[in-house]
Amino acid sequence: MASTRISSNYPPNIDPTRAPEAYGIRKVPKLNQALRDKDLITRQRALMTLSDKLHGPEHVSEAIRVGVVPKLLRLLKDADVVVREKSTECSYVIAGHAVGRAALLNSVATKRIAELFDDPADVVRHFAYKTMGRIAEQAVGAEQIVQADLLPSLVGKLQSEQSCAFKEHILDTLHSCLMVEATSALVCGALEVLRDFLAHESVQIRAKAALAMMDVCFALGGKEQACEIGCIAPLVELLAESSRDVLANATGALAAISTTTRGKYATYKAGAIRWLVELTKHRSSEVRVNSLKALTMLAEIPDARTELLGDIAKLRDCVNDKNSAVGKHASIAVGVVTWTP
Amino acid sequence: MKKMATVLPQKPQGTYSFVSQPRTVQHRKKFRDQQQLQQEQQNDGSLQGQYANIMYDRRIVRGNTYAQNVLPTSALTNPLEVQRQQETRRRNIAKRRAKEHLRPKTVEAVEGRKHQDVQTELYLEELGDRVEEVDAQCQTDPFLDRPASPLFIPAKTGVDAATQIYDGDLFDFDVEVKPILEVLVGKTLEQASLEVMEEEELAAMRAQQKAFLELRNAELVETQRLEEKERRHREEKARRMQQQKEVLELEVDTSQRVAARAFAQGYLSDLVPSVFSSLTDSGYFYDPVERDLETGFMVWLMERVEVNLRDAALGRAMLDSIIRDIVKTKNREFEKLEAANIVDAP
Repeated sequence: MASTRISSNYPPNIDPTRAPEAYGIRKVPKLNQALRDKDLITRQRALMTLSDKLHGPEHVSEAIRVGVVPKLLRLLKDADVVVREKSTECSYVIAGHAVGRAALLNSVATKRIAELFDDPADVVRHFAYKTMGRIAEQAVGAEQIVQADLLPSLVGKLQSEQSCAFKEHILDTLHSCLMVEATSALVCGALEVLRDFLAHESVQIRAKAALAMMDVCFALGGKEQACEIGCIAPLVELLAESSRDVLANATGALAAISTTTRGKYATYKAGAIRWLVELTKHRSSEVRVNSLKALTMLAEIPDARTELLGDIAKLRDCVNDKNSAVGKHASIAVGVVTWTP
Repeated sequence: MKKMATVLPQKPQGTYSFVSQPRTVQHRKKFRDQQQLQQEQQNDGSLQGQYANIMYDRRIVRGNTYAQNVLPTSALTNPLEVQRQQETRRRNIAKRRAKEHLRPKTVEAVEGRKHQDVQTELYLEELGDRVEEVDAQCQTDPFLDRPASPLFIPAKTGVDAATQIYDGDLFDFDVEVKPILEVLVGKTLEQASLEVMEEEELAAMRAQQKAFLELRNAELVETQRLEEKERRHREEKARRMQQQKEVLELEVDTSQRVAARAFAQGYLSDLVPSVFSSLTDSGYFYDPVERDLETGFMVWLMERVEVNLRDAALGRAMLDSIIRDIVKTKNREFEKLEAANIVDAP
């Protein structure tokens, strides 16, 4: 029989791992308040709810407005693993939005997140690497990472981490940073590490290492160091692979290194021409363009030019490619090959 | 068990007592085997290792002991009686053995064969060693839990009030749930489509970024190639200019040398005769015989002349001193003579 008496107890908490949400406009400020709580369980619950709520874009801007970011950064140093994990996850989700990245950069989050690279918990490091990768995607963020002198620690972590997923995230971050600034990475021996990763068993890691190497080799110092430590031979070996990304990045890196005379001769002696001519018929336009560029570089060597004159028909085929960039660079290549002094 | 046996009170020797160790109940077999049978016969019917029924155990005294018929001791002492009894028993045993021996037996098996028990009945029966027993079980009903005490409802007081509710006045779940459900589903779908669109947008942006990067990298490489080419050309140009400059310098140098040579030749052509003449004048060109005469012979000649002159001078000096000595002595003699003349004269 129903009774009209109202219970004095609160309704039962359905999921004890999550904080109950306040209604509407009070939702995020309430969670923000709970982040500062002394009670560990309250903090954990608030972070659990927040990490779910932040997937909605409107909650992200709201959270940034009420100042969640500095609190999250403070929680990154918490003694509890769950709190650290969830706060890094929250900062990862926030870093997925432009406003979030700007807020993170304003509060100089890169150093705080870099401190988590030594965290004993794998999941915390996983989110830390992913967050760093997202921050680095903006040029401003990449500059801040380079200025904070985090490249040596990233390169060190690239060697010490065991998991392939972690290495991929670090290589993504390195790629973004190296597009901005390559010379500081050369000092900390990034090129040697990248060279060793060209022979890694994972296809993704090989592709990303070749991409990072291409970024480094756009700098003059990078080209010279690449010739000195012998990066050409492993790059030429990658040309025999079938993966699109690996081929595109390896041909790009070879083209970048071959701009210098020393690099040209090293690439020519490694026997790259045979592979590069084959790759001008690859189905991916990026591979075609990069291999044509590499061939253009090599064609400036007299021996290589005479060798390429035999394959000039293949290069001429590419001039009428449906991709305009391929056609343009193919005509440049043909011009260089048929040049007579 | 053993302890229990030891605890049993020790009866005095006079009355009859029987003590036995407690034993576990042995599994009774369905058939007795031959060995056991023989043993039983030897033990005179009492089962070894098996409990006999205590009610029929001969060793246990039963009944009233006051009315017990005690055997006269004298009867047993009669040796003849004893002997007869023993003989009767022995004969009984011998008779039983002979009877057993006389029973017809199966013929011994032929060499290389052996007998085997075979069932010859119409139906084959499974013979087992286990005693067939039947299990019967019985389970009492579990005790039922005490039912929860019914909710205490106080006796009704006051006046009843009633309300008439017509159809449609109350909440109809099937109707009312529709808008709520629509909102729920709509919200979920909206959120889902939002996320899908976001992911698609991200993927599209990534693809565009990749295409842009592809172009950028190719153009960057092309720019670097042209820069490198430009640098090479510049270096070549500088080297050529340097070479040209060196050639020009060399030409100037050569012409200057030629001019200097011509000038020197012109200058020197007048110089030689004057130099020779002045040198001849200063006596740098001479006759060796004359020079030898002057330097060697004349010196020697002068030395010899000097020696001769010195000798002549010495001779003259000697002569002078001799003359002086003579003159001196003459003077003295003259003086002496003058003196003598003066003296004589006067």
